[in-house]
Amino acid sequence: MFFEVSGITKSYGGLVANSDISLEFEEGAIVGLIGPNGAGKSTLFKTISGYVVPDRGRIAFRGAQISGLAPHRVCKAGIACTFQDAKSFPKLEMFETILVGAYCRHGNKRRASARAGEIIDFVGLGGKESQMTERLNMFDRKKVELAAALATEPELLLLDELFAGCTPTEVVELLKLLKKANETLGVTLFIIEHVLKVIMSACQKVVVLDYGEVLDIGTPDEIVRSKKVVAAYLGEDYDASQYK
Amino acid sequence: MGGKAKDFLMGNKAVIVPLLILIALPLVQIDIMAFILNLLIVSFMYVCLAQSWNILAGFCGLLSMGHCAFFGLGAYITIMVLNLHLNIVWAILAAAAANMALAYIVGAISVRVKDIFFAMVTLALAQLLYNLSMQWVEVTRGPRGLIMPQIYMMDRQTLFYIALAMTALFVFAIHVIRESRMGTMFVALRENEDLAKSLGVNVAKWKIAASVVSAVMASLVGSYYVLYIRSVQPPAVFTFNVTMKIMIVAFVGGKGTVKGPLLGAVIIILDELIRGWLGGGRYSGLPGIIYGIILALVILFLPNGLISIFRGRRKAA
Ligand SMILES: Nc1ncnc2c1ncn2[C@@H]1O[C@H](COP(=O)(O)OP(=O)(O)OP(=O)(O)O)[C@@H](O)[C@H]1O
Ligand SMILES: [Mg+2]
Repeated sequence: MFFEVSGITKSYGGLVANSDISLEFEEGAIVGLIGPNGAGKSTLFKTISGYVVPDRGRIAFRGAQISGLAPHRVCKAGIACTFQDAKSFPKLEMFETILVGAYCRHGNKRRASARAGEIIDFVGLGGKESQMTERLNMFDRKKVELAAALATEPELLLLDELFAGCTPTEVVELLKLLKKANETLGVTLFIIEHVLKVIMSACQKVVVLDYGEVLDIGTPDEIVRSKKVVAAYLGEDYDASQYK
Repeated sequence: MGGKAKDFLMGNKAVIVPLLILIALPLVQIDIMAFILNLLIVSFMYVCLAQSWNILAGFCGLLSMGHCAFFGLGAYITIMVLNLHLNIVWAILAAAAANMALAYIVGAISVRVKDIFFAMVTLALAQLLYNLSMQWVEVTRGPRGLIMPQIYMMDRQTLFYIALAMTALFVFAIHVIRESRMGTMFVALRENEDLAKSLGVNVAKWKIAASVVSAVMASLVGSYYVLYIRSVQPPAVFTFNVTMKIMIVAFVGGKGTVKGPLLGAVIIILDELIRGWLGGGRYSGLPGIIYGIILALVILFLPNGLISIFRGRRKAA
């Protein structure tokens, strides 16, 4: 199995943020992770990427155990992530931000720079290389975050609400970009998203969390028809056809 | 390396003329030349120390408030080895080695202790070395300090050229570091450690590297200090006063920049001049007040230092 989470449990004091979570998916997939606020989605991502140490359970990537590794080792192992509270290097030129990611695989400056240049073209940020990240608009900053993660040449990319705050046109553009990364770079995507349109149109598989537990796993079609998901998250008046 | 040095000079033509003037300066025969050379030597030392501090605080965002510890340790080890009548090279290497060990500890601490807490730990470390140098009389002779054997004496002109060469080397080294992978890793740590980690940056490794590079540079200045001053006493090297001056040079010039600390030298020249004019006596506190005011004005109106006047809106790192 490409990626496998088994029995991950994490509590903060009395609050169980992740309770016995198990899931798995194949290489090349686009997988969604949805659920109400506080369901434990971000906690699961942080656990996968090494920022949170789980109380129990294990995570395996290409058969090797990665739970317990430090974040930079998880990245080296081939799993990159972006954060819900969009992080950036505000005072660095955009190019150098991407370069940091490129150095993950290329110690040599010339090769790392070439790689960074390719990724910048890939996400369509060409021409803004020498702008300080803090001077870019919010949408460009999102692309920078995505590009920096892609520059580490991940096999699996975790995106925590990357679409939050985007206008509908920006959502479409970003979605295109993600599909392109999935198809041409072969990056498997695992995305947390509240914008259901993204989930329904891009994912082959959706995982629903509620109160720290896996509520359901299935194709988007199965998920929108699932009684427990509708009750817990989508709401009774949710119209599945709206997102077709 | 040679090619890089040439590129660097060509990219910074403005430094060529001042550099040539400085090289020719000692040849001018005027009465106050000794005074001028001394003034410049002290400035050069602080520029070099500010460059060293700049690696930790300016590049990596690790506010070292005990930077005099590296400098002082370098000076003490150097003068101790010289008192064994060994070659100067051994003294310099021993001092650098001792500083590497200290820097490894500081680097490891910086991985666990952040921001103001790191500042406090480095401050305490410097205080510890001060107390050690005061109390461990058998080795350091306590407050009386240590004296360099006569045989290592150098004339002022030679000392001036060594200081000039050291400064040029430091500025160039900082430039090379900033442009290298190491420099990019350093500034990434300063900007956002969590993001850096997620991009595969080994935080502990690069923080320790920064600490070691910074400490070795400060150690070299410490070694030079011994050759220039010919003695070392605890209050001259291990006090917060030294650290503060280092920080002021970096701040006034522009912290986190390659050329900023060069400009920051004006504050040392001012300080020395004012103190020279006033002498000791009842106005001896005045220089402190004056450069306190200058520092406040710079931080208020030029938060990125004097360098920002020259570079306008260009990159801050
Ligand atoms: N560091 C922490 N300390 C204490 N409690 C935490 C911590 N991190 C998360 N929690 C709690 O764990 C639960 C799950 O949080 P998490 O951020 O994983 O939710 P989420 O599904 O990502 O929610 P959202 O959709 O709002 O982003 C929440 O109740 C949250 O308050
Ligand atoms: Mg979340």
